[in-house]
Amino acid sequence: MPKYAIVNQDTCIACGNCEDVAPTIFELDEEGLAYVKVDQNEGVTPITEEKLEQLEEAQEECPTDSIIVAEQPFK
Amino acid sequence: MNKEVVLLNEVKSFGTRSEEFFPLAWYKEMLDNQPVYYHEPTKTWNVFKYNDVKEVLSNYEYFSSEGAKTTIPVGASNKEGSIPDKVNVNFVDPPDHRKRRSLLSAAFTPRSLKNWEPQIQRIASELVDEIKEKDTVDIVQSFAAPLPSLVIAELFGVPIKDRDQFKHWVDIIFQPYTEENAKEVEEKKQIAAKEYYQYLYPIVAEKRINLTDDIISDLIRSEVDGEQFTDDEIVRVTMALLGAGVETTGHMLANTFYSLLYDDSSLYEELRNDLELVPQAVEEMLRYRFQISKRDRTVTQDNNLLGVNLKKGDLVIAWMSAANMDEAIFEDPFTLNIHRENNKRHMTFGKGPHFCLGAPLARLELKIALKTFLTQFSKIEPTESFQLEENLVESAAGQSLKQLPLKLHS
Repeated sequence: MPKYAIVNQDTCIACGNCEDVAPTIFELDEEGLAYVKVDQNEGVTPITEEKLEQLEEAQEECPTDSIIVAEQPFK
Repeated sequence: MNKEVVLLNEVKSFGTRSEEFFPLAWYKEMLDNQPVYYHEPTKTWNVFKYNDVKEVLSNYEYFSSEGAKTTIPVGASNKEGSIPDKVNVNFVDPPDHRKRRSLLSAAFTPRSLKNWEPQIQRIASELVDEIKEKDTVDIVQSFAAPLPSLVIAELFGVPIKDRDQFKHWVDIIFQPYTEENAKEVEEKKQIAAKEYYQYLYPIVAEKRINLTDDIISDLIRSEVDGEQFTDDEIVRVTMALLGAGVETTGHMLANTFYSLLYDDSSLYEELRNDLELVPQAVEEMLRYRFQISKRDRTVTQDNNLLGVNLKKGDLVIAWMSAANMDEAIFEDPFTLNIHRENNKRHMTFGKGPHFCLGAPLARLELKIALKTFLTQFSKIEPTESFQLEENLVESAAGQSLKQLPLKLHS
């Protein structure tokens, strides 16, 4: 099952944990807010199989639950 | 929740205040020779290396924030001075932690802070205006210390005229103590906590009737799983936020000026010529000149994750400021360098689920304060007579500058 992810930038506190544990998925923008880099946080490109473990870890690490994962594209 | 408090000044007692203020020599010794160190008298494990500190702070299944002991003496031990369980985010692990924290965190995201930027800017400009005609100024009392308490008073929505009284209470409630003066300090804390409580309670009650645009109103509106704060809880939450957000930011700002004067005297001009460098300078100051970050965790099950045999119930102290000096992560770590690419990886705000909720606010305040100051003054210089040792005082934030005189050039 493919997975899609976005970062809710309204609740992100720019701590950088997700980029730390999953650098292939997340990056921080100029304000320090995280986003999913494969699709500019649109949530439309599936996260490939081999990155799913990292994705899960990032989601767990996020102190504000700002990483949202779904089995359908967000748009 | 009252825990037994382990006093960290017993783990390492420094010869002078200045050494404790900037304990790089000790950190280096520990990083090089005893990166995982058992201290018998306090029965604590102490870790210094970046990856060990990260492990202790992030792996909450093995290193829990729930335990019978702590190194953080929070507030006072009477009812008015303690933090309500519902929002005590320090002494609890996920998933409870998440719920408690989300009651608080919405108010402090970079996005919600955008709305506060003009007010923070106004406060910084007013403070700079007050000193712009002067030749010499004590930057601690005129800028670094008042700025964060003014900002938090503004964010809370309490009358600005009461801000000195406000800061006075905070200073007492979060005053550190030693074994000798513990009882006396605790009595003072209880009185201050009570006065603070009696001052703020009617303000909260009044805001409940007339909700406005401030953090107290946000806390009144805040709701998770049908739970809301009572007036009593809100007063005690604000106390916790004050303790976390006033002294720390003031300490960092004062140390930033110290660094600009004494670590690298060419940096001021470099920043003034290119204000775009301010954010990265702030990150390097957080890495290099904030020496008081440390947190404790309790081992939940026997393990060897740090390369030693840890037993269930052991207390582990993660020295975050020491981890910021780990050569494995930061190139030439004992030198101030705002251009180092990974400065932002510092552990000053922690790591993992307990990452500092107020980090975005602290960063914003530091950036605005520094930019506003740089724009006004062409140059700063140390005064000849300044002696560091005589100008340090023990505070909730560790050894802090009580004054820092500097010469101003407009």
